[in-house]
Amino acid sequence: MNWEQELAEQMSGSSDYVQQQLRIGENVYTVCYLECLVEANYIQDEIVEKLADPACRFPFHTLETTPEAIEAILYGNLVIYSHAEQVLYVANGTGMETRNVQESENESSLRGPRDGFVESVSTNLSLIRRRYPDPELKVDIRQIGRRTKTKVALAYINGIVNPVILDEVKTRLSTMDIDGVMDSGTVEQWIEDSWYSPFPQTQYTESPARVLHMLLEGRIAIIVDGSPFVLIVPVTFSMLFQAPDDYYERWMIGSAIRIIRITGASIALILPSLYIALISYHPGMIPTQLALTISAARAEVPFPSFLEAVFMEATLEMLREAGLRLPKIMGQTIGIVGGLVIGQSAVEAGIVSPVLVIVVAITAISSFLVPAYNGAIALRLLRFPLMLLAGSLGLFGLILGILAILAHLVSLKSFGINYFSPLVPYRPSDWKDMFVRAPLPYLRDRPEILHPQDKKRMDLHKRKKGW
Amino acid sequence: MRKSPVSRLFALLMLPVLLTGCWDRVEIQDRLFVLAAGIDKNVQKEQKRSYYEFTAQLVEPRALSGKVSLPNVSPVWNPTSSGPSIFECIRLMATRVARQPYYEHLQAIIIGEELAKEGIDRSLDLFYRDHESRRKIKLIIAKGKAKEALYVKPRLMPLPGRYISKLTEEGESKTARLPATTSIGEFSRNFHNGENSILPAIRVEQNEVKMAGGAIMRGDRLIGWLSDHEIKTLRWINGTFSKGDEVIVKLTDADERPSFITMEVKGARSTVKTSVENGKPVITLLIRGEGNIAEDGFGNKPTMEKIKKKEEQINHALKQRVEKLIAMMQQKHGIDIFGFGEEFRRFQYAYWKAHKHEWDALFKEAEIRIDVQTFIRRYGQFK
Amino acid sequence: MIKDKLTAPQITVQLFAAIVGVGILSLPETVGNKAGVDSWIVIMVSGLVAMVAVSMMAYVGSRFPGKGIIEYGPFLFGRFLGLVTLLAFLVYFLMFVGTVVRISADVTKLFLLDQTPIEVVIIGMLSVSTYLIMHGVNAIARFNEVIQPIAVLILLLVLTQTVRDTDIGRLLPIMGDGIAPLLHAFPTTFFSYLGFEILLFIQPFMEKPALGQKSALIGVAATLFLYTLVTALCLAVLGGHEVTLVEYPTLAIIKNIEVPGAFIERLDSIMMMVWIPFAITTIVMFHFCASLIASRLLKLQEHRVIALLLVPIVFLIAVLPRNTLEVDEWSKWSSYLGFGLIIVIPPCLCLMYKWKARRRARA
Repeated sequence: MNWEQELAEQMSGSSDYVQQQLRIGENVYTVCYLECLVEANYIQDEIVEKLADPACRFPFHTLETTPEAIEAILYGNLVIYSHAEQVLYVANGTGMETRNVQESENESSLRGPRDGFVESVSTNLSLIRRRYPDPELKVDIRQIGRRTKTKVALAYINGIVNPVILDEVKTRLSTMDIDGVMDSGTVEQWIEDSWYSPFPQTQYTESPARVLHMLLEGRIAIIVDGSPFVLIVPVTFSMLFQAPDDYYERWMIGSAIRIIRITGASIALILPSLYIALISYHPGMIPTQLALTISAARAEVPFPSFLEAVFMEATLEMLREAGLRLPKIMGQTIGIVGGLVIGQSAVEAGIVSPVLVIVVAITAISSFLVPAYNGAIALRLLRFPLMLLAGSLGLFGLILGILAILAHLVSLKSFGINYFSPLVPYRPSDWKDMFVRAPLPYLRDRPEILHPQDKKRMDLHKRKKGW
Repeated sequence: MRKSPVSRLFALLMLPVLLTGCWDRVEIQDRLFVLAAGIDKNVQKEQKRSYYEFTAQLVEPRALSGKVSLPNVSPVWNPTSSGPSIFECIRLMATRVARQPYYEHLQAIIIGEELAKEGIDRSLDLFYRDHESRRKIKLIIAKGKAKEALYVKPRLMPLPGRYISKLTEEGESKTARLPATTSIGEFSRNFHNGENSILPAIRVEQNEVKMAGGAIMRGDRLIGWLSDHEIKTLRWINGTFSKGDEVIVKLTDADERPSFITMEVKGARSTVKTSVENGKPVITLLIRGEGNIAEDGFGNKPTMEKIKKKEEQINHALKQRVEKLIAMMQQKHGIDIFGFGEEFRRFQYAYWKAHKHEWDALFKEAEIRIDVQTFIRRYGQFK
Repeated sequence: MIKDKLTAPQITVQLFAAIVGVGILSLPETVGNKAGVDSWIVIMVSGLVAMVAVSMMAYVGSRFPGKGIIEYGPFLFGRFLGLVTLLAFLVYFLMFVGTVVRISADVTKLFLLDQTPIEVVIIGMLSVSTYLIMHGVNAIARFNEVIQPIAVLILLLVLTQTVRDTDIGRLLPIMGDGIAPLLHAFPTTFFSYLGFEILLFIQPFMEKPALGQKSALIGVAATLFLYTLVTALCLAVLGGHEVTLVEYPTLAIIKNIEVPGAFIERLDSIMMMVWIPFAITTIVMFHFCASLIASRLLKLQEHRVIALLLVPIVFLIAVLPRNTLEVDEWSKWSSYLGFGLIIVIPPCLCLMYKWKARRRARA
């Protein structure tokens, strides 16, 4: 069996497979490619041109085996069989449809680079490489997916990254055995530490500058072909509240915004359950005047505060989800309908109290303060069990629930790093970049929790001013 | 994931608890806030069992908010029940009120004169003990029946209970015409330490409640009244005269017209020095106060001499009042309301320990030396 | 890095967490009953004694790196006596957990959940504590590191608000009745420091056991400071006599606070956020140590199964007492047991260690 037959047999059933003979001068070539992946013009303009030019040696590399050839075809290349030389060549095809690099919508920042990752691993790597032209940036590409053979690239900076963590990540990646990798999310869920935790144990980002920042801290980036979301490991809880702007903007602004985010996250988590506990169990803890006001406002409400709160919070989540899937213009309509009509008329109908509407609104706004969407959704989900606890055991249940969440958080790990570090175990040198972002001179060292090989980040002695 | 079966087990264990929970759940609108309570002695003797007459002031917040106009619903209701214990009275009330009375927001307990004369400790026991009550609840003695104080219709505030408690707060901090110890916690501390207390007294008038000085409590029994001026003197002695009241010195000017110097007191301190001489307690009382001239009946342009003279006049007037009050307590009532006993416990412990049971008798004989110093610091924006 | 070991600050916080429990609510009352206005002096003195005892334990522990009393106890005391000691500790720990759970549940019932069955409150607390125990000693340490400083900070902030009601003069006279009442109050006061003996069990988990002594001393000293402060404040607000009549003076002085005009006018809800974690962490520490002993006695590698099996026992101990006074009685007996163990064990350990070391040197 010769090459052509073998290829044709393997690719049989794919109508987009093209295998055609080109006769150029006296040489005969067989060109094999997938129609959908290679532009017709490209073959005409480039390949045939080159083949026709007798002075041109093939700049393409050669292949040895048929599986190699098939793989090349499937990745959108051309396989050229020269009948004269009896050799298989591969020519890079163009025409794979990819999105242009553009500003990411989910991770918009006021200040900082605007380019975002796209669905191609090579484009994404180029975005990173361009910012770090140094051989120490290592990229380890492997194929994962029993059937899809997706390219997964592991990027790290040699000399900074901690080899123990790197080995662990490599081990986890190499043990992946799954039929297809659709998105970095698949990889994330395979390699994460705890499947039963609501909290994300890796972080994803669309911003190349952010990836670079993380690489420089000694973390590892995982880039999956076909996904614009690059994973970063290991992560800590405090990273949920950090956004790239914190570092680009001056430190006071960055710190203040971080504190606001953390406050918002705590409000989003406990405010509805605190409302339930105080209204249904401990009105004595509210100031007298406020208690009288709330009591008057709730006079006509037929439901216990627990049902009332669950009803409104669930409505809020529904509105949020509905707005997410709809086109942008429709999304605004949903906002108006949800916010005004439901809120207003629910109060007027006496189904919920106006105080609760305020509580729910504050909760909603606060929960959007958390920059990491997967972290925010975890907090929003945990709100419901807390509401159940507060609804059945009051403040006592609420405190037990918070303690249980805390117990879960401190036991969680991300690639050997404690999820709650650097807060605990105490590592004061890392606290400068946790809940606040200290001024630049204080960020002299890389995070100690990662045990990077090279600790120093900057040399302040070299700083000079002209005056 | 070794832990997972365990956590699932816990989830299973907790589930029934959560599903059947809510033993204590009472929605805020189903609770009936009690803002004030009045306790009287039951004078209708035909029922031997009932000793107390307990009146609770219940609030309907709906009628307060003004949104719902319910002609039949008034913001307050003062049901009365009687029984041998306060607790029984409270539970008896539940047979008449459709909602659950709630005492966490209780602001003031008013006790009628009759009951106060027999002792108030027993009737307060529930309020020390119950988890719904706080030590900060104000304790007030009413001249006449306590119940009547709850029925006043104050002109500016819809809730009499809140009105009364605000009144004591303001009166205590702005005018010093009320005793400094006003809460059941403070009374309990004094009483259980074996000291006497002065509690705020009120008199009910048509549409208002008037703060009428203090009630002298020997232990927990009412034995007499102090006027609001005497209370002011008492607070000079205690050094609790913190701010914002005036001392008036009445003098006559050249035209024989009465004229007054008014001082706005900004702070006062009293130091009590204790010693024992010949087996008798000797108390040296040093009162220092400072303040501004609030009103001056003597013409303008103050000089150092004028101010000094005014200070001396104030000192003199104050000293006379202090002496008068102490003499009254020593001779008429024969009890120590100034906390001198506590000072002896602190600084003359051996003596106090030997004589603590006969302290009031010793106090009658005690020699008290008084020194008053006042300072006028400022005279305002006009000379 | 990947291998978790307890750090020095973690030992400090662990000891603090184990000592400070629900007792902080009633401490001024129990001590005040015996020592009156001098309670704060007794508390300081017994704190110092506790520091001596804990430094002895840490000294012996640091001589056996990687080993706790479970391993070196039988070695120093001989197999039989060592076993008896461990069993005594086990019984004491279980009794202690049971009574702490019961007292916390009683306080919860009194102030938060009047109608809720006590069993439910107990199950709620035990499920959170057991969930934490399942994650092992390092997770417990991290948990304490988060929760204790926050709780202490909140408590101190709340206590600053009581200053308005205080009169420091109430603490006078100092030692007016001489030293006798102080001596009389000493055992009761010392009970409030029970908990530092867990050092015997957690020191082997340390990164550098040699640092154990210093960290443990800081932990006990922090407790001493907090206890003295709380007691002195209670005395200064309530006075020497009233403090003995109020069941939970610490809570009483905090319920006394009204911050006028603030959104949270009443701070007792905040106090709840403080003492429930205090109670839970004490339960966790003792329960963990009990399951550690039991698992080693049964020669098991893991403490998890045993910890779960101990839960019903703890539950039973917690629900058995009939009323509050009986709970006090039970807690007194377990405290006596602990007191005996703590007074006897550390000097014995030190002596035995010295003796063995000398014999080995001679041999």
